[in-house]
Amino acid sequence: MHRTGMGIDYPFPPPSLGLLTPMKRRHFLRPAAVFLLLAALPLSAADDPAALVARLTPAPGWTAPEAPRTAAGDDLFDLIDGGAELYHEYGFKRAVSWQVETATRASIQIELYEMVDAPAAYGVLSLMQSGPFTAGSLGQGSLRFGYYVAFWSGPYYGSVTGAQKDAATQAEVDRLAAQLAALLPRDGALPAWFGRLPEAGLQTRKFFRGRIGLSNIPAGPAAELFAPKEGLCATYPGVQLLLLHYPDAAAAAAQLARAPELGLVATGAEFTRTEADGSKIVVQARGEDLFVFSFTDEARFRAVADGAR
Amino acid sequence: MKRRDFLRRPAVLGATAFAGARLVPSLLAEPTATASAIPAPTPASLPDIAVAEGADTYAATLRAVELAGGIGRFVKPGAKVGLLINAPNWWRKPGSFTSPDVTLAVLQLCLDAGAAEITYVIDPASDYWSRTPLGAQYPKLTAAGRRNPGDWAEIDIPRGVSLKQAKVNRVALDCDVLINLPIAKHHAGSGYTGCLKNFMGACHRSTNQFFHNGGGAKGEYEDIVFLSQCIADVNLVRRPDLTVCDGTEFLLTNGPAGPGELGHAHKVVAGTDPVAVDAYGCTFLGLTAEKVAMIGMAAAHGLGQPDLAKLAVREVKL
Repeated sequence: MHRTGMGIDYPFPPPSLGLLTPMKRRHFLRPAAVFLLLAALPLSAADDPAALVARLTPAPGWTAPEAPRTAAGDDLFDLIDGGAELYHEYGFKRAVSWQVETATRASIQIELYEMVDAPAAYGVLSLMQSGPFTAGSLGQGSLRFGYYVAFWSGPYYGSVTGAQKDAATQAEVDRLAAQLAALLPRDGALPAWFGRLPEAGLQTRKFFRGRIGLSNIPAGPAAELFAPKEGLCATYPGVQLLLLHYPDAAAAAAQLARAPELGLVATGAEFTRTEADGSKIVVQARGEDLFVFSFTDEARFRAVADGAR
Repeated sequence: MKRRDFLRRPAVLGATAFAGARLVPSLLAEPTATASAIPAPTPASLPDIAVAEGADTYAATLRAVELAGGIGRFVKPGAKVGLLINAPNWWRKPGSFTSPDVTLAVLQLCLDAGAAEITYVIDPASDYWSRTPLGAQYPKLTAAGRRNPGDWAEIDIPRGVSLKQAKVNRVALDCDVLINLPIAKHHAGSGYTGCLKNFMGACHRSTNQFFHNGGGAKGEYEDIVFLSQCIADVNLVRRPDLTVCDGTEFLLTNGPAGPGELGHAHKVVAGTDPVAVDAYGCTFLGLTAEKVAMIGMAAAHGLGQPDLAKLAVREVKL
């Protein structure tokens, strides 16, 4: 668990651990070459989520009542029905779901999703941030909730859920989650533009890749202003920052051109709107990104905005 | 006329109305909803929404149905009952499936009422009964439901805005009494899922994928409005005779599959108006009917009353 100066649990490792910084040059060429090679090959059996889960060793007393269930592409609908649409929005390849239980019917469900890329895996995990949780270091980032653990690593998102909250079941949840996370690659890289978020005071960061993801983030009226394809919703003490990312500066500018019809008033280089509850929305154009701030305290907003890169 | 024969009439009526409309349009105006989908008036002595709250989910279910008029109001001796439970194989995490205690209580009530046959519209998960200690205590109840035979029928929905046809399970169409057993929980696509959305459990996978694919085009998973309209439209096929909604433990986030933050209202909600029950159930998630698109769309079809201020709600604590 990482704590900010405000005593708020920081859900992901701070920038010094490299998660929020762009990829360094010497690491860039190798993944690119590997990607080109893999793109020409069929999906690797060794990377198959089912093959990875098959390597897990549940503790004595835990057995599997049935074979793992797998899904690829549209078949994810058969695995998790309407829950599939969010994964498809991020970009989904294949998944496995496996259940183990004891003679007394305690049960644990293990799920592993191979997404199209690391940002997709990270994005799914980031949407999971709600309610009380503690951050951990399984894979490239993990969250521990009351009855389950979720993590991302490389292009994989995983969760291990215990249906019962007793200590023995939850201990096995932790053990299986650690086992599974250790099998996954840890070379997932996030887009460079993630690093444009101000670091100081960052509390939570959620990545969305479409309307379904965004609709699951309580971002308020700021989320209704523009038509983003992808972006980040970050929270700071007293401030929310919605970073909307577009293909290029022209696309971002085209969105901002709608400011007058959205009730946004130009104030210097910014566009401002005051909400009915007295809070404010300020929009700043920064190249291919629109920074949409929501706040009530002007000083706090300025402190965050000045830290943006 | 039996219900199953009446249900087939809308497609015929629709076709006739289309043909006839060219000659005598004023005589063949379509109804605002299929007759079987319009809620029958609730007797003045009964509430529109009956809510029982308590730690004992089984007892709360019995009480909620009692408040709604008792099972005898819905199930007559010799009736064929269809149970639409939101507990298929893919919902296994806490807060994602209808409590088996709710289902057991409804099974008991149906047997008490003299039901001749109880069939699942969608089979519950293989380990469903093991998720409650009552499963071992009531073996006759866990064995009382028949597995779904897997027969389907193509149904025209002439009043549908986005959904004009659906492939629906025959048990849901042909049973004398359809009892809907949803859980009120979060849904990443529609924001909320309860009674109205649970009817998707009566639909074939191909129909449900059409709901989620925003018009059937592959790769387009973003159309939340389209999904909501399809849900409203499919509820024109048949209105369940009774809805018993699980509001005991449910997903507040990361629905419909979870895992996510759990809410606990410890309530079981019964009624005949699915729009009304959803208008009440969505409040468990801090929502209002206005914020759940499918509720308003279903109300626009004449399927029920979304305004809680206009409904008689009776709540008891056990």
